Amino acid sequence: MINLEQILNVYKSSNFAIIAVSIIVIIFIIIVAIKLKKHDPTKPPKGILLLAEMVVTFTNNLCQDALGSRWKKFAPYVMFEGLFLLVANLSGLLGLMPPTANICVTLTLGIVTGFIIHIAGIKYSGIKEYLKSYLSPNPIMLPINIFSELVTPISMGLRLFGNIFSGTVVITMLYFVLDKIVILSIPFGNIITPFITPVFHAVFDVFLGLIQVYVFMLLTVIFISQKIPEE
Amino acid sequence: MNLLLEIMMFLEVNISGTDFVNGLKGLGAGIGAGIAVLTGLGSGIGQGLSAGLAAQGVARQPEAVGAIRSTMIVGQAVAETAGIYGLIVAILLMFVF
Repeated sequence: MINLEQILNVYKSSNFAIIAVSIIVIIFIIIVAIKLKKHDPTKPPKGILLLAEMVVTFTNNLCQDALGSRWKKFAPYVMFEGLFLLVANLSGLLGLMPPTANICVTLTLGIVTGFIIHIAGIKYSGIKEYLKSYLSPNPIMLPINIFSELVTPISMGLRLFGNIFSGTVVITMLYFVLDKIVILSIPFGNIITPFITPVFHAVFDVFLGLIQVYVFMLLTVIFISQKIPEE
Repeated sequence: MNLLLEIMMFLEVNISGTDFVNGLKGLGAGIGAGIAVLTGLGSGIGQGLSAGLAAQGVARQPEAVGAIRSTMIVGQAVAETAGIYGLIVAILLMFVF
């Protein structure tokens, strides 16, 4: 029987992972900015600039589809969110505890996104229309509308946290089991470890991690587009 | 509960000690976590339905693959939320007790 507190004790390095991921993203942005300044715009980009261009184009397309002509204000935030979550979710491959398996990180992202949604709503539809939207379709619906607005950031944060944290717990349990097999010196016990763990890492860290990044970016854009009026 | 106590008495377990209370706490938390994880049933059914309907949509309109895929992923993510809540409740129960 595995004691679940052991799992938490193994991953005390969560704070280190948060700082490391932030530093990696910042370094990536600084390198891109320095290279971009020296780059000749008439020539096609290559290397890290090509990668940066792909990321920017992907984000721009995502925002243009949902937000129409007002995509330019929101694309930078969505891209940074996506870059941070991408590096954070993939950091589980390095043996770190992913920062997104910490509920403080995901709830912070959710709350920041919630603020951006409401600020966009106030800015693009005016404070009067924004407040009026709480009384639609009927003033009786006021408590329900307020509640649904409060729940949005929490649900975004908890969705990400639950996905990544459950993957981390499953992988850690797997390592404990394989450790037991090696200790008990079952024949060929130490040979199967490198064949089993990569499969689980591929599913929980890479596949589910990338899907959650896409979902978080898309949900941010969709919630913003619900708040701003149609053109 | 009475039955459990009788079994414990029969086995001559010390039922007033802290071990017994902690054991009962663990038992309750384990059963509660198991029930909480059952929420995954509903979200799994919902995700399967949306994937099946997306496959139908792609078969009818192969040129709309991109839009259908992103819509399906968002729908599945929202459907998954209920299951994730159950999972979080289960994990909290296991960690707290």
